[in-house]
Amino acid sequence: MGMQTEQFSSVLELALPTEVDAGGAEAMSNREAEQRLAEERYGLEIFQRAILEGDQQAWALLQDRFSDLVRAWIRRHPKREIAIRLDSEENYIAQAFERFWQATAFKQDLQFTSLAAALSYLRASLNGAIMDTLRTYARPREASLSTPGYEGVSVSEDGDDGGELWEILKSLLPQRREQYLAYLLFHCGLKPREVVRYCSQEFHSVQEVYRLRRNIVERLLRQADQLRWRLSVH
Amino acid sequence: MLAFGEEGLAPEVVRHLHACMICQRRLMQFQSLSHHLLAQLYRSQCPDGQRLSFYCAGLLSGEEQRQIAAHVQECPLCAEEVAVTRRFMADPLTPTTLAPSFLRLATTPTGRQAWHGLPDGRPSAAWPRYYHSEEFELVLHISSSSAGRCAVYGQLSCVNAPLGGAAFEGRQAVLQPLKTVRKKPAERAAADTALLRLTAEIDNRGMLTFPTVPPGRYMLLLHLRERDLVIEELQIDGCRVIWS
Repeated sequence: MGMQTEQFSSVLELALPTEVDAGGAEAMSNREAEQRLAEERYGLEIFQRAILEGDQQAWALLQDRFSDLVRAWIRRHPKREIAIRLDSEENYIAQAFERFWQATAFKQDLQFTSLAAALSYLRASLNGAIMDTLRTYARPREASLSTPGYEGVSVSEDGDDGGELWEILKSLLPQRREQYLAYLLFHCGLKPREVVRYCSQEFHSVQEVYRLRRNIVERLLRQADQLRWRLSVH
Repeated sequence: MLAFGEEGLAPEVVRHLHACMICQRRLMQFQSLSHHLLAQLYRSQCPDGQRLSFYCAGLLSGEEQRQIAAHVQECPLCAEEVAVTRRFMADPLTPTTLAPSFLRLATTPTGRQAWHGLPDGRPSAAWPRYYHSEEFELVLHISSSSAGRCAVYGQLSCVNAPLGGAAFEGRQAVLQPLKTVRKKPAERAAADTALLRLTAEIDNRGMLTFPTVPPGRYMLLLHLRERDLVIEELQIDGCRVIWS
């Protein structure tokens, strides 16, 4: 709890506007502007040395200096409540820096022209970590495939390349609407009611989706052998 | 059977299925193929979260930006993620207001009789004051303490859920001093050093107590499990409290 309080305190320091004396406002304003400019230059230099030059000390400093800011971003994220149920803030922070490193390190064509530009990369990396975590938990549970009459088709041993299967599936469904419904059902994992909700322009009623889904499934079952054969020869 | 996998089958269909082996088999094939395709294809065409984030921040090449834009038009899941990401990215990079999780509590204009008895039994005539957000209610009160200091009491409750105070038990409340506006730096420094951050633990009734609070300007923060609540400024002056 003590540690959390300290971290929280530094976020506050970052966030709270500093009050100034009325008389010295102008002088303070100039000093603040200079100070901000110096901090901006300093921050940008840390990023450049850490990322572009691979300076390990600068990298450690970067993480130390910007962790609280990343934490503040997590707390502003629209999906924060779900995200922190799935993983800790510390893990998201660590992932954000790791992804940021992977996306930017030693890229000669990358140049941060401002601290804001570097921070935009870091924030996008954090968002990527959060969204990927949410996706992992949103994935539908995989069902047992050992059903008499349909033994399933596997694209590869680990089943992680759906691109090939999708192309074959499309070729077996000549109509664009069927292809799109198959995409919504099997690629997006939408239920028929969700299909109507998300794509009401295309699909007007749940009964229509039921019928089209039956057509698709029956067509694929009829061509299951062809599906297996085409996958085996690719 | 058309509705398989969604809201359950109609009772007459279930009765028929019990008796008909052919339809049982057909249903199993439908389900099995659907589950299998879903397992193999689920979001296999989607850019990962990182690329989608970089897309939203405009950090990809022109060609990649175009590809992902075309995908987002077709994929409702990515479209939803893009909307969330853009909302997130629209915030300033460096927070200029209070930290992220802080939910500001607003004053409730009408007084209500919900205050449980104060420990010293001498409630102020002008208090308690009521604060609320969508989910939470906070009742605050002060009374005189030792040597010009005040005791500040609060009771927190959840509006929407039938949670007792136990849901808040052990969570921390903080009175954070705000910097003082003074003419002379020496006066300001003296005033600021006199005010220390005060902490209290919320008990199993949702009660919090700061027994001796020096006069000054504070921010009240309640660190709850899911989020933090804040009252941005309160002035404690002797035993008179001015809320903004």
